[in-house]
Amino acid sequence: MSEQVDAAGGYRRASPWPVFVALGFALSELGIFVGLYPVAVGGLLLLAGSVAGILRESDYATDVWRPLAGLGVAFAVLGIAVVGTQVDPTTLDVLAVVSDPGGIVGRGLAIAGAGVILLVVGLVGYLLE
Amino acid sequence: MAGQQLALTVLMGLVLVGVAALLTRIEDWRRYTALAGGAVAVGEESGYGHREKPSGVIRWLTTVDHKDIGILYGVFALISLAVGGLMVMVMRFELLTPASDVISPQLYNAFLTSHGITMLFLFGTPIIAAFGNYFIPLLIGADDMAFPRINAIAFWLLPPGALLIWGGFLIPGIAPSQTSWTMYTPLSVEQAHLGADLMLLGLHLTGVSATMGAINFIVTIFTERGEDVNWANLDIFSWTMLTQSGIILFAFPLLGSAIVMLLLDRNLGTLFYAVGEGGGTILWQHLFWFFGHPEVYILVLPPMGLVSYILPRFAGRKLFGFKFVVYSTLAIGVLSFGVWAHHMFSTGIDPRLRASFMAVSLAIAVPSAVKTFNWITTMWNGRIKLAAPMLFCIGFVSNFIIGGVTGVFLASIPVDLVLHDTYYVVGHFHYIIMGAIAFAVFAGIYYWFPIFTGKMYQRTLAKWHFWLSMIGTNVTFFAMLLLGYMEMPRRYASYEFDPAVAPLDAITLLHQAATVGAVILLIGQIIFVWNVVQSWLEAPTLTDEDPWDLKNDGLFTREFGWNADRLALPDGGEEEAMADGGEAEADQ
Amino acid sequence: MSVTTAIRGRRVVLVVYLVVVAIAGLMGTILGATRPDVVDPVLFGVFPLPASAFGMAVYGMVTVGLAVGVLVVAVSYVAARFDTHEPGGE
Repeated sequence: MSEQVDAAGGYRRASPWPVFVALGFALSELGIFVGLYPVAVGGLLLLAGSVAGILRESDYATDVWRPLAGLGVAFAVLGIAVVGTQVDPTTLDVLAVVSDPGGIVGRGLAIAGAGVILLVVGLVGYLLE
Repeated sequence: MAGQQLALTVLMGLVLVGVAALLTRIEDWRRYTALAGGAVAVGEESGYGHREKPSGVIRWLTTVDHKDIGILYGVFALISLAVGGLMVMVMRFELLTPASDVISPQLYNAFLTSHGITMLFLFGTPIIAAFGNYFIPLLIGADDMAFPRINAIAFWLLPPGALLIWGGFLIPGIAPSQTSWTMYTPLSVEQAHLGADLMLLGLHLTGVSATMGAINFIVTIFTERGEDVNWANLDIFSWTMLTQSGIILFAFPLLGSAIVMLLLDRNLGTLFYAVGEGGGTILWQHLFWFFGHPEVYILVLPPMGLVSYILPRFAGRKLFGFKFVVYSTLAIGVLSFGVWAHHMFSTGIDPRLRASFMAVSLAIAVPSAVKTFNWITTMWNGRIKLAAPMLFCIGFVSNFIIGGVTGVFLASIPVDLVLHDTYYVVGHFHYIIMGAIAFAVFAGIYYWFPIFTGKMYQRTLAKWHFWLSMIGTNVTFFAMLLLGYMEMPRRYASYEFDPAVAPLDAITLLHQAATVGAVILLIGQIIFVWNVVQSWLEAPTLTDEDPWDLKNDGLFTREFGWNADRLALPDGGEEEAMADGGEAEADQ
Repeated sequence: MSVTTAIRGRRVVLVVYLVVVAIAGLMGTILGATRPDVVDPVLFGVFPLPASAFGMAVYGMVTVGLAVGVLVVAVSYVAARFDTHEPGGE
């Protein structure tokens, strides 16, 4: 039978990342749709972290920091886009929007916030290594 | 409000820190070299290299082995079967009397919704994934599924999904969803229960899980076949899993989109299903049933594959008309996307559209009939051994004929306009879901019990399970067909009709008969659980590599060959067989 | 290792057929006896039968017997012409 190997040459029988990808995905969805912002942010962090872990484990990435930063950029863009659907950029009063978010704006901010955190963590980790 | 947010933030922070700490103990994710757990480093590879699995709970949480994941799916599915079954038992006790005196109508509606969702999405699809994950790689000569980690992700989406779906019952103070499993708008948009949102979220997760699994099966069957497995000699179960995965790929994303649109309508003020400004309430029905009809074929094709695989083994010969069965499977896969509006005949859609859906719905009966014909013809010239798996296969064929024929009647518009939303429909689809699909699942569990557990189940208990299930199924769901003819509507928590207008006595009697049948079914399933658990724990280890005498008829297939290799190892199966790529599992 | 003895496939199919026809007769008897006011058996849509236990039993047994019987005859014909597997024991 053909030996099935991943990019690194080992055949893994166990990996800790899948259960956290699933948990992160579930918590993100719950937080975003129901409006529990801490759960949304935490879930997105868990999801992105586990995805970066899997990418590193299967050797599609050479370190965890760049996938984290990349996912951070993606989430930040997505979050800002969601906010942008509700708020007119020319009349934007940033402080007002951020201090009392609600509805769609709040969810967009949560996604963007998670993205920013991931980007910072990714950059810091990359620079420290 | 602020306090609640703060508490949630702290909680999430703790969860994340805890996860990070746990992961750091298990893996050196920064450099990926071996750390804790006694794992062996293979070059740059770390963590669990190809020589070891961790032990205990960590093993089950981190496994990417297709057999382990199959077992996880199977245990999850059987627990969900029990939960869904107990829900309906409460419903059936409520329906013993016309009045609503056992539980409130709201709780009845909540159980109604959850029974359907649980059985279809938390039992039906996962139990099929259990068989597929365990056996497809063995049957096609692959080491594992094509994407083992995605396989694990797909499974682990299910427990959170289940908790969300049952969240309405589990979380105190919120109301569970009472939308029925079909979640028709505008009720599902307007019903403010938080349980409905949780159920939709959970459903979305199970849909993502099914789609990931489907992609995995398709790629595995296309690319990971062994050298001697080609399209001509691919086994029938793999063919049905492949077709089912194709259907899932096209149907489930649509459900996911429709659910997301519904969640947005419910929570963020969008107007997808709104009357006037939006697509209208019938948009949901079209979207849902475009998924919903292929869904029932998603549920039935692999069990048909199980019957096509198992029935010939107990007839001592090969399946008759293998090619026709494969072509029928593919035809069903394609046609299943063309019949969805037969669930909407009474909604007032254009009669010309209705007629075309009626035509395709009648046509789709043909490939199923071909399969049924082939199963009976397989038996005709065979020598039948009436072991439990075979009894369930024969029961499948019998119940499928009744369920299928009642379905053909419903495909006819004039008949459907009378019987729509009555118990006739409930009886029809339960003949298929319980009488056919569940029976095939039981056949598969008993047939492959020696491989799953290394033991043999108790035969007498299995036969009791069969007969009680067969009698219970037919009593319960035939009574429902009759209730339908008497125009008893479905989804009613109480039925206090004016006896001058409706035959209340007869209807009550039939409801009571259905409940008696349900109790018979329940006893049968309790025997089943007892049999499986006790045999798994206490039966002597099986040393015979051919418990079903397949070699005698030249039917000794790959998965039993793999099992034989496993048994032949010096320590009798403590280590995994070399046949699947040279992996040895140290038993800690 | 299997201790179950093998039965000829034809016998199994025919026994199931007879059981199904018998159950149709049983259901007809029950329905005809309990609800004679509502049932209106018309065999093949042409021949009216008495609205009684007897009439319903005949209706059920003849309709089901014929429908499934045609299926069984078709199975035996197709098996005789196209099935390469030899019936009977080794």
